[in-house]
This record gives sequence, structure tokens and C-alpha cells, in this order.
Amino acid sequence: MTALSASGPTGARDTEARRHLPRLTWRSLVIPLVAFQFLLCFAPQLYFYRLGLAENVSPGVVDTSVLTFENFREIFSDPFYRSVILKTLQFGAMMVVVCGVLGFPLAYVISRSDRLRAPLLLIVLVTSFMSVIVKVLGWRILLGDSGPINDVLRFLHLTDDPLRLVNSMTGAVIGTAHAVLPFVVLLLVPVIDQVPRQLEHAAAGLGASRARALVNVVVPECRAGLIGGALITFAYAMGSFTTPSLLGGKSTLILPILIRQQVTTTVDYALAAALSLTLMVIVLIVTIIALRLTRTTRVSV
Amino acid sequence: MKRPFRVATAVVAAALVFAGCGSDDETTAASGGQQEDRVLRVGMYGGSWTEAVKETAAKAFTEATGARVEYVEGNPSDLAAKVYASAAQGSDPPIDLIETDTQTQSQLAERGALMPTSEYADKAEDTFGSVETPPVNDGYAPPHCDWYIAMVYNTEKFEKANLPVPTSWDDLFDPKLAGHVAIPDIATAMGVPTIFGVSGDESPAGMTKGIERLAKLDAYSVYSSSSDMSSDFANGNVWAASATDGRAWQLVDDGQPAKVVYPTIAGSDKIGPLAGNCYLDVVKGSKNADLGAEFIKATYADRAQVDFAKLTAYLPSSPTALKTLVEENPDWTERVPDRAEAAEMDWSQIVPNLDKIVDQFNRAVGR
Repeated sequence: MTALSASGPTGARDTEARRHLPRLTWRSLVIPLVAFQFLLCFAPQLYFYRLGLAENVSPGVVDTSVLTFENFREIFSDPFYRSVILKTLQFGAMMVVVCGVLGFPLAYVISRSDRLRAPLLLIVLVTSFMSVIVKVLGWRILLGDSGPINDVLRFLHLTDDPLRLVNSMTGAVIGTAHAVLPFVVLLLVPVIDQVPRQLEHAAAGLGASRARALVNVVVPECRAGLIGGALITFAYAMGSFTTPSLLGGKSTLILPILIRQQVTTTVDYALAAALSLTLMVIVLIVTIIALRLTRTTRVSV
Repeated sequence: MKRPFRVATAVVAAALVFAGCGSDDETTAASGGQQEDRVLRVGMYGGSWTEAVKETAAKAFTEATGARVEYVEGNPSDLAAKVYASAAQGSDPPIDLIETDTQTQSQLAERGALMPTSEYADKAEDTFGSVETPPVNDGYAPPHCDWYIAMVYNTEKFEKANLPVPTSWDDLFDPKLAGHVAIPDIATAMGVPTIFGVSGDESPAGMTKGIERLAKLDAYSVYSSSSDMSSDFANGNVWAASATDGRAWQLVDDGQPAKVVYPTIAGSDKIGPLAGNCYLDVVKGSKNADLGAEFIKATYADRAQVDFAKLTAYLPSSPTALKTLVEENPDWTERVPDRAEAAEMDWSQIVPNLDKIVDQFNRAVGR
């Protein structure tokens, strides 16, 4: 009681003082992060994208006083650039399918198996720690014409001539999937964890096989997570450069590789910026569609 | 189950942290002299190339000046892109000296990104008058090494496939070699010379013809890094490749089942071509132009060129150094083609059309 009476006037003053201070909420904690992202990420990006609307006067020199859509006209009227955009989308789509098909079963096993959960998670984590270059160099040897995979295929008489796995879209997809798969799996495991096992037991009780229960019960429950995983995969694939260029070679000319060519070989910053903006808009459109799908899924769930 | 997992994760994380702590020391320490506090930033290829430069010219340079050398590794086109970017922004160049090939030097010179060499070219002529190959770009540095475009082939694979020893660039198109050939990308110094090799004509029409021929070639790879080509060759994926003679001879020196030939150019009895040279130039705007000039001169020294050749298999540009090299190593005779038999490319025809050639190549080859 004494304490209460002693703190009474002070407490009232504190409350009054707090009322005049800006309210600090948990949301305020994101302000430094947003400021950091804007200054170090978005601002240079915006500056670079602005070059896409400017004119390339000579190699390395861009006239920013001019506002023109000429670079975009060139990109969308030239069959070469259109084919590169299509190939990039094709690459992204293939990545989504491959990572979905490989990632979901792995995440399911990790989620449902008490015995394998820890070792498999460790493997997935270690894989995600590995340097991309190390992975790519390993794949170059494994997938080469004289590599062990082609050796096995020939030994089994599945092919006479070696399959072109390196310097092809196949190699680029395999290598990039190896890089992005851990993230997809780590995203899907908690999603599958949240699906009650009783649902599968109930399905089994009603005569469904395990595979059918997985497809008809678990997968629909994980749709939002799957869309999130697909989005991560797509965005990663659309921006990946090292793996496609080292494993895909010249035959996998996708937008990031073309942008790099424009910057370093042709030194046409304006066209490179316009291509970058095109890439960003494509990813943005797909992201919006995916988010809408997720929202629809949530509502329907 | 959880405890071992945590321990294992911690061990892996610690190992990765320690692995990340390692770093290459890119800096040659000053060994005395008057300018210990100055640093010359030299952009050049990494790996054995930089190591050879450190062992030869850089050592002499540091002994003479006391200045430190910092190496920025990258291909000429990547380094040039950095130079263009800094010039466009009006900032100081990221490097003082740039190692280039003929193609990149021509582009840099044309775009005004290099410092003309009048300050030290005369000195170079006096001191190192033996430099044989004149600069393609008048007013800029003469080369410190020369190279030919050569074909390296895997003797075991050729024997097994009953393929004849290649003598002409046309032999790259042998159907039996389909899928086993590596050609350089246009972004490399070897790209344009390879086009010339298969067309024999450096005019715009000739370049177009060469690109069209290469586009029909079933290549295993269109490499943008010579080390990738070497790796594919060593793994047996590539049976024949167009490469610099220096890189080709390195494969022989590494004990690979490799032989090097200097094929004749399409429609000609000339070999090669003598495709390119290695240049070091001072980047425009460098505050260490004086040090840069000293470094460049150090690369012209006959002894430096001989030792550099032994370490990299790239030929000296100085006839005196070349003579010394062959005298000291008689087996090098086969590595020195007769200049009179080699075709020299007319870069003055190529440079004005480079952007078009690059664009044509990127659209057509390997896709």
C-alpha cells in the first residue's frame, strides 16, 4: 500500500511523459532494417534501373538527361532478346518443377521420420553451407561426357553416346536445383509439421494408400508452403548467374548472363539496365500472382 | 538424438568459420627502397600468371622502388568494365595498371581509358629496344609477351577414334570430333583470332563467315575461362581445343596426353595466327603513373621475360629474350613457330567492328 501510494504521482507523471514520446512498438524494430535495405539495396538498384530509360552514348557512357523507351523497344522487338526472356522463364519453370518434385518428398520424410529427421536436416544444412563454386566444380566432373554418371549410363547400355549434361540446360537445372533445394526443404518441413498426422491415419483408415493420402491429404494442406517454395525457387533461378553460366554454358543464355555480357563485353549500361528492369518486373509479376494464389488458398483452407 | 545433432551442427559451423578465415595474401611486401608507403594496384589474370609476374617483374620493381604491389585479379574484359565504370562516374580508377590483350587494349585505347605511353615509351625504346612486336595501338605500351592461337589435342582420344593429326583449323569440323571440341568465347582474347582461324579473313564479311562456321560446330564448350577448358581437357571431355599456345603447352607440361599444333588458317598456308600480345598499360587517371611506367619497364627486361616464359609457357616479346630462352632450353625450339610462316591479323580492320562482331557471336554461337 505504501509502495502504491509512493509510486502514485510518479507513475502518473511517467504515463504522461510516455504519452508525449513516439510510441515504440515491435514494428519499430524493422525501421533500421528497412532503412538499411533502402540505402544499400534499393537506392543503387533504382539508380541502375534509371539508366534503362536513358541513352547509351558510347561504351560506358550513358546520357541520363534523355528519357527514352528505346532500350525496351529494342528488347521486345528483337527476336534474340525475346528468345532470351523465354529461355529465362523456361529455366525458372523447370527449376520450380524439379525443386517441387524433389523437395517435397524429402521434406515429408524429414518431417515424418523421427529417426531420420536429425541426420537428414544436418545433410540439408551442410549442403546449403557449401560454396556454390565447389558444388558447380563437382557437378562439372560428375556430369561430364567422361564423368561417372555417363559412365554408369553407358555401362547399363542405357545410352551409346554420352548424354550432354554439361553446357546444357540440363546441367544448369541440376546445379541450380542443388543450390536452392535446401532452402525449399527447410521452408517445407515446418509446413508439413503443422499438418496433423491424424489426417493421414484417418485417410488410411478409410482405405487410402500412403501415396494417395500424401497426394490427396497432405499436399493440399501444404499448398501455401508449396507456393512459397516455388516462389523462392523461381526468384532464385531468375537471378542466378554463376551456376547456369558454368554448367549451362553458351546454350543456357538467360537474362542474368546476358546482362553481364552487356556490362562487361559490350559495355552498354543502358541496355543492361533495361534488361535488369525487365527481369525484375517479370519476377514481381510472378510474385504477385503467387501471393494472390496463397491468399486464395488460405481463404479456401 | 537432439544432442549429437547440435554438436555436429556446431562442429560444422566452426569448421566453416575457420575455413572462411583463410585468405590469399595478394600483396607483395616492400623490400626496401624509397617509396614503401606507395601501393601500385595491378589488374591482371590470377593464378599462375600473377604468380609468375610476382616472381619476375614485380620482384625487380619492388627492389628498385620499394613500392608495394597489390594485385586485382580478373580477365581483361572484366577489369576493363571496372575501368569504364569508374571513368563514367568520374571517380579514381580502381587499378593503376591493366593487363590486356590486343583486343582489349584496342578498345580501351579507342575509348580513351588508357594513358598514352609517351612518357615512358621512349625510355622503353632506349632501354629495351629489343622489343620486337610493335604496339598495335600506336602510342600505347608495346607487349611484354606474345602468343599464337594453337590447337591442343588429346593424343589418346585421337588415336582411339582414329583421327588424323590436325593440321588445319578446318580439322575442328571433323564429324568424329563433334561434341568434343572447345572454342573460346568472344569475351576472351582468343575469340576473334579463332574466328579468323576458321575464316582466314578479318574483314567484316570474313568475320561473319567465321562466326557462321563456328555456329555450326558441335562444340562441347564455348569457354570463357582457359582454366575451364584445361579442366575439361584433363577430364577427357574435350579432345581438341583452340587456345593460346601458352595455355596449350601448359597442358603438355602438366603431363596430359596432349600435343600442340599450329594449324593453317582456312584458305591459306599461313599458320596461327600470331594472335595477340600481352600488354600492361597505365589506366587514365591513375595517381601512380610513374610507378606504373617503372613496373611496365620491368616486364620488358630480357631476364624477366625469359623467366616469365618458363613459368607460364608464354613467349617473350623480346627477340633477345627469346634467343636466350631457346639457348637455355633447347626443347623450346618446337614452341617457337617461324614468324615468317605465321599470319598476323590486321586489327585495324577488326577494332572498328568489334561491337558488331561480339553481338553476332553472342547471338549465333553455342545456342
